[in-house]
Amino acid sequence: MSVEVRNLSFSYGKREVLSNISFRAEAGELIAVMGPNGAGKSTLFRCILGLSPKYDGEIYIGGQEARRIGIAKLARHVAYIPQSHSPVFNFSVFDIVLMGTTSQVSAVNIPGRKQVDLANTVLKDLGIEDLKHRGYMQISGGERQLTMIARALAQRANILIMDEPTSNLDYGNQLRILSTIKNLTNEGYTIIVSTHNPDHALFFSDKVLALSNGRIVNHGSSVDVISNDLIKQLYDVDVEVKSLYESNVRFCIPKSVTDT
Amino acid sequence: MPERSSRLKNNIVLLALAIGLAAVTLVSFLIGRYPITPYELISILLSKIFPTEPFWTDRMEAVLFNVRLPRILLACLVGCSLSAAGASYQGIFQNPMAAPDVLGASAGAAFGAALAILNDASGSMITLSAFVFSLVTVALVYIISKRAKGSKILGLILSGIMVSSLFSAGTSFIKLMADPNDQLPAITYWLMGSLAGTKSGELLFAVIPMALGLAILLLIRWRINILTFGDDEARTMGVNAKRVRLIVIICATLITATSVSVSGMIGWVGLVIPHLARRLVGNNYRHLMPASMLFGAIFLLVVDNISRNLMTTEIPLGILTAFVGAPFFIYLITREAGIT
Repeated sequence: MSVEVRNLSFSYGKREVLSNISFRAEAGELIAVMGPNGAGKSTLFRCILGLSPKYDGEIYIGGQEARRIGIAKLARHVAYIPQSHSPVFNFSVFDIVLMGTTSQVSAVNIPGRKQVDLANTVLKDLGIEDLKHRGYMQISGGERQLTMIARALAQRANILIMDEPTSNLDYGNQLRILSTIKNLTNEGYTIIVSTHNPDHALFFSDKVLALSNGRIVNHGSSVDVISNDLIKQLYDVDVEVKSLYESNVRFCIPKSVTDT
Repeated sequence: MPERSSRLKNNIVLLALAIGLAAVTLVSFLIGRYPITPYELISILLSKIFPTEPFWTDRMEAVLFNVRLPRILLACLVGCSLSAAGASYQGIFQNPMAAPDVLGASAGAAFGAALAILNDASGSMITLSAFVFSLVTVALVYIISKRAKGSKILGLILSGIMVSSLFSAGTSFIKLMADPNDQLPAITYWLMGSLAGTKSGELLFAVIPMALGLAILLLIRWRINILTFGDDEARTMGVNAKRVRLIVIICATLITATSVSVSGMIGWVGLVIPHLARRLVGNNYRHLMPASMLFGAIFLLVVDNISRNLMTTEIPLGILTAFVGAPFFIYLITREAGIT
């Protein structure tokens, strides 16, 4: 399922945080949204998720205007994966994943056999079956992030919106989460993910949307978009984008390292 | 499968609580100032289905059906309601410290009752006045919170605190104006909470709003889980948090207002019992809600039995629940795993 954002602008009072944003994510495509803090990444996500509906322009989910789609139906198309957070109550991992299926049952019902099977399948696919009886508060940050991904997959949405999924994770967990996300695009999920790390965007080797002050600075394939100049423009640091293995792998090295 | 076994465990806990409630209910019929033996109890109960020649006195039957039955049922309903309301509020406010009176239901009821006593109203008018003022107070809190900027949940809780303190001040003022010989003690006793002298009229008044509120809370309990993630996340999961919260507030207010208006102020049940239920069945409202309801009923029934049998004069329930509840809560928070 595709996402299309057309001439999207959004203001908090008089302050414009998004200005004339247009892009399209085809089914099975991943878009990494980059930009410094306050660039408008979160607001863009809020608009797509229907949390901030008072925007100018249009957002189309699978060809249908997002604001015309009801809450439950939108949840069956678009799922949100928050940064691993601390909930107030210590639910088991299985319970949290099962809660992802809520939009599939009526308001006075409890997820049944079908939803329980779905939650089990998702846990198995992500390789976290052994966590299912653990309390969410007792597992590591990486495991929490996987639980949040599992919850979104149990929601059966085809479009996944991820807010900095690797923040607060150690190096090993960052790489594990990145691989998981990449695998999901291979399975046909459309993914829009925000990241601060250009190396992560290069790792996905798909599309990049670079935002600064609520405007699109550059947009296209990660190889074309991520350059020394872009990083300088977004984060005001000097890096050199290098490539290895006949340009199949790209990464950034800080200038302060290459100078010495 | 393991998750089936944990669900099985929770279902066994619920069954055990239901059996416990039935047992406590039967025992409650037997104890009291007018002794009834188990054999007499069963014979009297069975005679309603299979008419038999009574070997018991009419007085015995009257005590059973006109005094003990309404009181026992009302104790169950009030315990069940306060506990369910507390568990619900803890979920929708994402706050494990939330109690049934968080939106002012108790403060409003106290004011309504005090006002009625000041005007020498009858017993049923006192109940009605408490009920109406309780609902009005929560409605007021809700309307004010609508105008609050920022977080909706914080707005509700803060409005609840402010409006509650206004009505508490009003209650104090009424106490100041009241006749110190009869009205003031009546207000004071009412505030301490009691089920003494429960009549079937009160039970009939209470049963419809309570059954309605409890049934709806039980039906939508899965949705309360989703609200604990916050409004935005709930929405991305397909749940209209505002609507679910309003439904929960209406139901929880209905059952709290009814409880307080028939029994006065009974603290601690709505805070302690849901926490105990969390220990038993976990935080998932699928099992937490029915466990809280059953446990609340058992707890208040036991406490009411103590209240009417421990001393020659009845001990107000509010005092007993605090005596039991506060030390128990201290015990809970000092155990390693914490209160949640």
